[in-house]
Amino acid sequence: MALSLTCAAHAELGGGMTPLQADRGVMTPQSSMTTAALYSRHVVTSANGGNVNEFLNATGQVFAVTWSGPGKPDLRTLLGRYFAAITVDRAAAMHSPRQPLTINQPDLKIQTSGHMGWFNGVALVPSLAPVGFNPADLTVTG
Amino acid sequence: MTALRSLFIVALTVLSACGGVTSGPTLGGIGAPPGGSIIIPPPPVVANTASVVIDAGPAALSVGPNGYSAFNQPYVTITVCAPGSTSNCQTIDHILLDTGSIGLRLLQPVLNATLLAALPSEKDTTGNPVGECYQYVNSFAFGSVKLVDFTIAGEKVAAMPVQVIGDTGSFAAVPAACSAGGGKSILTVQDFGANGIIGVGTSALDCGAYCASGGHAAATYYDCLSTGCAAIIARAANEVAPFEQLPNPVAAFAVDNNGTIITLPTVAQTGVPSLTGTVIFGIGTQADNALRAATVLPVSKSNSNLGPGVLTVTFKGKSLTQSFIDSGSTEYLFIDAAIPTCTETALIAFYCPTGPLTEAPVLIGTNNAAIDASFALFSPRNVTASSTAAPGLGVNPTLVTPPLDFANSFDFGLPFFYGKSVYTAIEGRGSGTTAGPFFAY
Repeated sequence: MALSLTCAAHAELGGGMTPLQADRGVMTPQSSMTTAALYSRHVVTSANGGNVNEFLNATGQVFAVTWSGPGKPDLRTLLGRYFAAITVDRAAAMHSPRQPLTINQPDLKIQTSGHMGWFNGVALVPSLAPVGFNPADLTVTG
Repeated sequence: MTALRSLFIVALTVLSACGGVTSGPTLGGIGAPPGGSIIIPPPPVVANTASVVIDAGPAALSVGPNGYSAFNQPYVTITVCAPGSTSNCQTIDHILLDTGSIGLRLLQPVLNATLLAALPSEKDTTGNPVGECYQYVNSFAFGSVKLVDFTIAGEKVAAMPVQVIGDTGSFAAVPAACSAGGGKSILTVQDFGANGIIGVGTSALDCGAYCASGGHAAATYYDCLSTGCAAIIARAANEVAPFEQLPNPVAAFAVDNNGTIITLPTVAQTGVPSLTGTVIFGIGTQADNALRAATVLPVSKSNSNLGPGVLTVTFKGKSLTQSFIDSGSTEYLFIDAAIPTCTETALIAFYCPTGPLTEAPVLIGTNNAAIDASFALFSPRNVTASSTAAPGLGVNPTLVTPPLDFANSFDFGLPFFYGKSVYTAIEGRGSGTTAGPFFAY
């Protein structure tokens, strides 16, 4: 296992690493990279206590993202092509406007949670995950 | 009133006639003037109680092909006026009473044109109108920040900042940073299930310290030009001029400003077509709102790294550190993999136990005070179609299979409130010897 501090950078789900955009007025985020046997884990911690974890496979593709913090991160950027899935109006179908978003498609799993001023979530693309990956590794803290 | 007062005076006269057994009037107290007649001042006015109704929701909710009926949503009625006016006012029903958020937010289509035109925008330091994005767990609301004179149950706040959700003109375009959190954009009554929301949680402000450096919390404030809102503006918690964050309306009252007591009746398993309860403003501030709860559960403060207003729940061997008590959630939301969810499309995500099943979460405050919060989990299949309020219903907040086991919260939604008086005390406001923030029941 190796740990290295990097300049702030992040990737999008299904894509590779890209420079981090200014994150909605938050002070300079800190970034670190941890490499485990099956995947690399890229952590960006915001000054307000929020964090984003990106899980990269051997080819550098992001196969999972987790987030946690007082505000939602820029999920449009983090989820990339998968972001559209969480903009669909599911409230009417649920007859409950305030239930957490959940996506359970064969190759896209998104689960969100949260409350007043604290939001977290996890997104996973199973087909991009390394063989033998344990979803229990998808914790929200760095 | 007249008859009651007459009776009151008669009764006192009788007592007086019993003659001098009790001690006489104290200095500054009520005494018998030289003429012999007794002057009784009226009792202090206790106008701190509003009705809470749970019903099918605002009229606009049921209109059209996408219309629906509200369920387990507690509503109050409020009055808003143009600042300084006693005539340009609107009384608005079906405002969701929410212990899980902060601030008064109104749907723009609900406001009458005369009132809306007279509401001044809150202005930032550059003199531009202020816009706000507020995030909920599965949606977001963008709109203008206006000033209103606000009244509920005799309690008033002058020139209070409120959010007008779905406002038009230069506020019509949702900033990209607001929609970037995902979820649905709330624009209409049907999107929201209410004409507005009154957030009366445990914080005094809707963003607190997080907005001091500009955004990134549930609330984010924007500098709004005539061409639209783009730049996020900083807005410190203690800043009052020229603008301030949206307050918890209760915290902004002149009196009774330390919290609320929501009391709802017990509800039968099959549910009821409508239900009426009360919300009392203030805790220990008047004769009708003494703290009589068995257990006080202090919760996290607004600067907590777990977010504000949360406590820990131990459940099925797990410690769920981001749990909360939320009148704005329509069910208990928690994960119990041992219970099947319903198979009917209309009941997606609901737990469908074959019979009443006892769940035994334990609520633990930040001072480690613990209370057994066991409840009977019921199946929604037993709720009659005409019901708008029903107890003991639970929802599994994840449909992902296999469950991604990151969730660490147990949400005590409205069913928790049935048959209880639930106290919500605001951070930094004392309730007798007990400091907020806390929940108690």
